[in-house]
Amino acid sequence: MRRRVDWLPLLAGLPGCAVLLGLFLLPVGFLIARSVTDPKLGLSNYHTIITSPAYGHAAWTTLWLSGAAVLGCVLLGTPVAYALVRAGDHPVMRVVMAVLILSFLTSSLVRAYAWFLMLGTQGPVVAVTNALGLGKPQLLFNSFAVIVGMVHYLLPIYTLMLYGSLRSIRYELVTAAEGLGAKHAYALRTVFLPLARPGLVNGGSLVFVIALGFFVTPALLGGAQQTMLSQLIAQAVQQFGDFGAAAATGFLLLVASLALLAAVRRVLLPKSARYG
Amino acid sequence: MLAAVVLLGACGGSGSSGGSGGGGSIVLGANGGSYDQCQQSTFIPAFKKATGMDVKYGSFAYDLGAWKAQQESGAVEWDVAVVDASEFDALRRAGWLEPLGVSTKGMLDFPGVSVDNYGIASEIFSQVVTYRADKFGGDPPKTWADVFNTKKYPGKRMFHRNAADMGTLEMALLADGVAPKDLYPLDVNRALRKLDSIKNDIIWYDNGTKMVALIQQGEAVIGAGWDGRIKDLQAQTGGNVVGMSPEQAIARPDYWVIPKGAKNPEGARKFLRFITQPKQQAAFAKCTGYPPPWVAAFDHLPNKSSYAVTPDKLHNVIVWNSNYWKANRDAVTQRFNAWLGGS
Repeated sequence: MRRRVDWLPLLAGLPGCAVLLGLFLLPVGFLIARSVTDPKLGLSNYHTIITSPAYGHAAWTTLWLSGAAVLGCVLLGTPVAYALVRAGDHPVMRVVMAVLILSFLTSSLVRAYAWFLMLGTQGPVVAVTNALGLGKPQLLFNSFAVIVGMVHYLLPIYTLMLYGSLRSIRYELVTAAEGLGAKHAYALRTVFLPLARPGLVNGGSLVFVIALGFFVTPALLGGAQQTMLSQLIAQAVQQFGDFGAAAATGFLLLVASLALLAAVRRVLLPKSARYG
Repeated sequence: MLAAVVLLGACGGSGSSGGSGGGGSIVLGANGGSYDQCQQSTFIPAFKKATGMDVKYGSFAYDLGAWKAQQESGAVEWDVAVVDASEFDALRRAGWLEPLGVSTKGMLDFPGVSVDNYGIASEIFSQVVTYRADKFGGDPPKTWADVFNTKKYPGKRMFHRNAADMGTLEMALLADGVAPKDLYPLDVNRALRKLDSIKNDIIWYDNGTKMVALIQQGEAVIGAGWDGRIKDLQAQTGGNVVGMSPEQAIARPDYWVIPKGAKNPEGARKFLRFITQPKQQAAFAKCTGYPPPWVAAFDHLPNKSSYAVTPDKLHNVIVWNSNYWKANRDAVTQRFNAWLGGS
């Protein structure tokens, strides 16, 4: 028997798909072309980047700061998303939801600058540590400040996305497990957590990819040791007009992040949910 | 995205300019911060009033990538813009500039103040010794050697991380005892060794906003600042918070340019001829704190001595050597970035 193709949804999706593919594949194609033709044909841009200590350092910095920011989001955001799902009607959780959405809508520059003032030597945090007799720690221009700024930016995105995914889990399954004699913690761990895993991995992957492209936060809150790849790309474009090096860096970042994501998803996701 | 919006606006404007009946309009490249605000409070309204022409702001012009994209696509947005010395050199070499057609008679006797009718100085821009006056007011730092002296002036110090354009290596060499006349060609190894001696105390900035924030919030207590922005900060905070010493100012011109393919180059020339008049230059200099590159403009300035460069004080400043940087910019930047990334 011939399989019937449902043409209507395909046709309906066609214009949107064409726009999406066109706006992604064409620019990426131009990017790759530019990276091997500007200033001359060949792989010289890639050779320069791979052998440059500054780029190597920035690549490593980008990866570990992004990883740390994702970890921060998972540790802080997961319980919040769970609380929103289980007790969303509570007045406190309504306020939390409003705060999440509001901070999601605030510009990254404003939020980074707010941390600049908060963590500064004249800021409230240092005032508190000083009053407690702990001295005046240097909180700005290091990895700590950048990670704080990144987590603050990414947390609403992660939490709201996870909330959407956790909400679709049928909590009756946990209740059923408890009815069959499982302790609450055991039921959560063996029933709820496996069902939540795709949401956790998808949320984590999304904020990781966003973190890789961070620019304003490390520039304002970090020191020279916290230079990320996007800052080097901006320097190549704005200061040197070197589109070839910028394109090559961007393409390497794209390939590296896709490979990393595929690996992480292969390890952490069940087969059925891998592309869902 | 901002650039795209502005580009759309510019295209719309050009489409309708065929039947323009009024004074016409020009698009000015933006620079940001107090600099643009000063343009808007001084010569732009005066020019509009005198000529009936309109002046609109385009996107940020301190961006070689934006120039390249505009020249390659042929969609040139600006009619006139201010760029820094390095960018000017790159634009000139690429052939992306129109002749200005503005007389340079009466300009300050400063190296590179006008270049072959393709660029004339918009102001003389200086890096100066900058410090917290509330901390070091009793015995204020004067020289770059003081800025590198962590015993006498303890605390974090700020420098620009674009070493090629912002004099960071020059400062290190002057602090290490190199005489101004022996500065070029730079001994990069020696400069990096000197910077190594204070590396853990340095906070780097890469734009004027962060520079001002660092000294204003006291994150840095001493370092390199831009004379105009620091004067602006002094005016805001009162004289006792932030101080500066013009003694070893590292100075270079910024340039007015007209991009090749500009839609209204004649309007741009009219604009430049208007704003280079002494009175307009003086009004702008009073607002920005940057010295005007025109001798007669100083006649209209009340406290001449507060400017890093004046007609009588030319030999006291250290002139940033554009020829050296033209030849060595890429190589030195790569070495500096490698040094910066290593620990």
